[in-house]
Order: sequence, then C-alpha cells, then structure tokens
Amino acid sequence: MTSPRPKPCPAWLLAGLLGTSLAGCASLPEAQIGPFVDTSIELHSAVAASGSAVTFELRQMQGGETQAERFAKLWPVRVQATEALVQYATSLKAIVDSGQQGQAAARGVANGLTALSRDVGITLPAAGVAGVATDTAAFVYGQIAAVRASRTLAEALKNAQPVVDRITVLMAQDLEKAGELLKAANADVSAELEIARQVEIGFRNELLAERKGLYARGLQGLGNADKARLKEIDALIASTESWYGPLQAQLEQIQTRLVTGERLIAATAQATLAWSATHRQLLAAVEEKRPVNPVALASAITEVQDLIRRIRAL
Amino acid sequence: MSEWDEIQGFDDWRGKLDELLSEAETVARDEALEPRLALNERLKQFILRSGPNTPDVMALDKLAADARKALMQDTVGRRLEALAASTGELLRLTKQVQVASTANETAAASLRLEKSHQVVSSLTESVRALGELRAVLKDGADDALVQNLERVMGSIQRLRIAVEHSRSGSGRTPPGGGGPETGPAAAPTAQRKGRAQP
Repeated sequence: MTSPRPKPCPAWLLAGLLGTSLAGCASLPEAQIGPFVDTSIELHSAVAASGSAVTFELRQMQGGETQAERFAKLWPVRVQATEALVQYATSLKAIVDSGQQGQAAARGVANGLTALSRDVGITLPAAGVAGVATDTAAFVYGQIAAVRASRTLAEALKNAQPVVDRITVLMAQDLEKAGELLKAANADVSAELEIARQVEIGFRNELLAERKGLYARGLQGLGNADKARLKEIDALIASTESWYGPLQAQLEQIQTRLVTGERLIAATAQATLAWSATHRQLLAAVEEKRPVNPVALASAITEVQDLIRRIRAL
Repeated sequence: MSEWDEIQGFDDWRGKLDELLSEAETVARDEALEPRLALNERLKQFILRSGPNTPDVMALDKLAADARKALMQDTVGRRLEALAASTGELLRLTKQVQVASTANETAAASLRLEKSHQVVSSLTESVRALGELRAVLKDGADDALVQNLERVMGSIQRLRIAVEHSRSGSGRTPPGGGGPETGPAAAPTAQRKGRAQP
C-alpha cells in the first residue's frame, strides 16, 4: 500500500509554525491568571469592608458624625479603584482565554464563510477536503492567536505596570490612614466611655487603693476596726459591679472591634501589595516565556501530529 | 510606680496638667499617631485619677478633657485631609486602569475574531435577502416586493454597520485587510493606540 503524497504547502506551513507556535503557547500564564482575578475580587471586598469598619468607628465618636460622613464620601474612590483593578484583571484573563480559544474562533468564522459560499452559489470542495482545510486554518489561527495573545498580554502588563505600582502604593498609604483613623476613633470612643464614669471610677479606685493599703499591713497588722472597714470596703466595691461590669464589657467590645478592624486593614494592605507583586510576576512570566504549561504543549503537539496524518491521507 | 502615685493636692494636679498640655502642643505639631494616642491615654488617666472632686480639680479635668478631645479631632481631621489629598490622583489612575481594561477587552475580542463573525454573519444575511428579492421580482406580488425590499435595505444597513464597526472599533484597518485580526503584530499596535499612557 502506498501512502498518499503529502501536500507540501500545508506541511511546510505547519512545520514552520511549530517552533513559534509552541513558544507562543508557553508564554500565556493561564494557570496564574484565574487566581489573579480571584485576588482582585477579594481585594475589592476587603477594601469596601475596611471602609465600613472605619465609618462605623467614626460614627461612635462623640461629634464624629461629620467626620464619618466625610470619610464615607472619600472612601468609595478607593473602592472604585479596586473595582477598576478587578475589571483590569478580568480583561487580562480575557486576552489569555482568547489566545487559547483561537481555534474555536477561526472554526466559527470558517463555518460562517461556508454558509455564505453556499448562499452565493460557490461550489465547495468535497467535505473531507474542506474539513481538513478548515481544521488546518483553525489550527494555524489558534497558534497565531496564542502568539498574539502573548504579545498583547506582555504589552498590556508592561504598559499598566507604572499605573499599577502607583495605584497600589496610594492604596497602601490610604489603608494605613484608614487604620490610623480606626485606632484614633476607637481610642476616643473608649476614653469617652470611661470619662463619662469619671466619678464612679474615682470612687472605686479610692476603695481599691484603701483595700490595697490594708492588705499591705498583713493579717497580723489589722485590728478589729480595720477588719470591719475591710468588710465595708468589699461590700462597697461589690456595689460598684452594677456599672463596672457592663462598662468593662463595653470596653472589651470596643477593643475587639479595634483588633478585628486592624487585622482586616492590615490584611487588605498586604493583599494590595501581593496583587501588585503578582502583576509584576505575570509580566516577568510572559516576557521571559515561563512557566511553560506542559498540558498545553502536549495538547498542541498531539494536534499537530493528527493534522499531519490527515494531510498525508488526502 | 506610675507617674500619678506621688501627686497630691490641687497644686500638684495643676502642675501635672501644665506638663501634659505642654506635651500636647509638641505632639500636635507632628503627624505621628502613636505619641497622640499615648497623650490621649495620659490625659484620660489624669481625668480619672485627679482628686478630690472639688470644683477646682473638676475645672482642671474639664481643661484636660477639652485638650484630649481637640487632639483626637485633629488626629482624625488630618488623616481625612490626607485621604482627600490623594483622591484626585487616585481618580485619575482609576480612569487609566479603566481605559487599559477597555483596550484589553477590545484586543481579546479581536483575538476571538468577533468582528469577522459579525461581518460574515451580516453578509450572509444580506445575500439571503437579495436572493429572496430576486425571486419576488420575478413573479411576486407588490406587497411581497415591498416587504422584501425593506428586508434587503435592513440587512444591507446591518452589514454596513458591521463593516464600519469592524473598522472603527479596532480603529485601525478594515477586516481581512491585514488588520488586527489577521496578524500577530496587529494587537500590540492596537493596544498602544487604545490605551492612555500612564
């Protein structure tokens, strides 16, 4: 049995394309781009939540309503900025995805052209020939799309890097200010609460100091009158529990708000810097054509082999 | 032993308040948060620990409370000012990121041959409409002719829009003519033109 002679043109074309096409596929960071988008979405939520925490704390301040309102007007600009970062990350993913879907896109156009040819009465070649031609064109465009996507992505990342650097620096600075606002407002709320109980706290502190003095004398040093006074002091201290317990509970609640808010803001600032670092890594990965996705490479090679076999079979 | 243990009587408390208010003046000249928070705490402790609660001592407490509140309001106000100062630049950068995103989406659409799809689809529709018109012209009624003419006009209009969109949307070259959907070098060029430089 003699095998049909391969048609030189498509074979040469594929052979020529093979080197460049695989290099193109290798530079699309498909594995990293999804998590990058996810991080952007998380960052957006975290910035919004950080703002809410600060607004709440400012509103707790006596006379803090105006400042809370002002903050509530300023912070959405930061939320919008992270919204834009989500949109940007998604657009990068669209480039990567489009680069991977080049074959399907070319096949769609080819199908449309087939329908058009039929409508205008152009005689199409036999189905097998047309199918291979379409598959070849789709494969070729798929590789071109991958190379183009890689270049487009590299340029997009490179052009945006200065803006990304600046925007993340500003965001980190603003988050620091937000953290300071939270601390200042929290300290003020806590202080106001204690100062409102100034007289009661002073009274309780006097009792505590007197008891401490009696304790310091030791049991042997106390007369009957001292012991009676000690009992009286204990009873008086116990009577302060009606307001002291709730006050401590409120102060603990305020402290919990501070700790939680500070953690959130610190994590958000860290996420901002991580986002920026990932952007830089993506740029490096695309420019240096690393890391290679072995699955994409294996798939491309298998497809090339299959197409060459089909071309020879014509 | 704390800074409060040795204080006794009005004069001592007044001296302590003078010291704190003097420190408040120094601290207020600086932006740093921690010295401000530390002084806030000391002024609060002054108010809670000072005694006895005579009118004179209560007057000192009032001065301390006012100073504390003013310090914290100033601390908050300065940080709000700092946020306001960076808002303009942040808005500008946000717009740049949005422009870059739009350019990326356009490039991605170009890679997916979306405009070619649209042109081919519109062209097919026009050809079909013209075929039907030809049939009606041969032996159809006037009503059918009018309807078909309208269809043809509509489909040609859509085709024109698709072609124009294909040209203007990429902003560079017509479809199939070496434009952004036909070669590897085209998309980066489109990117350069479409995106504001940072």
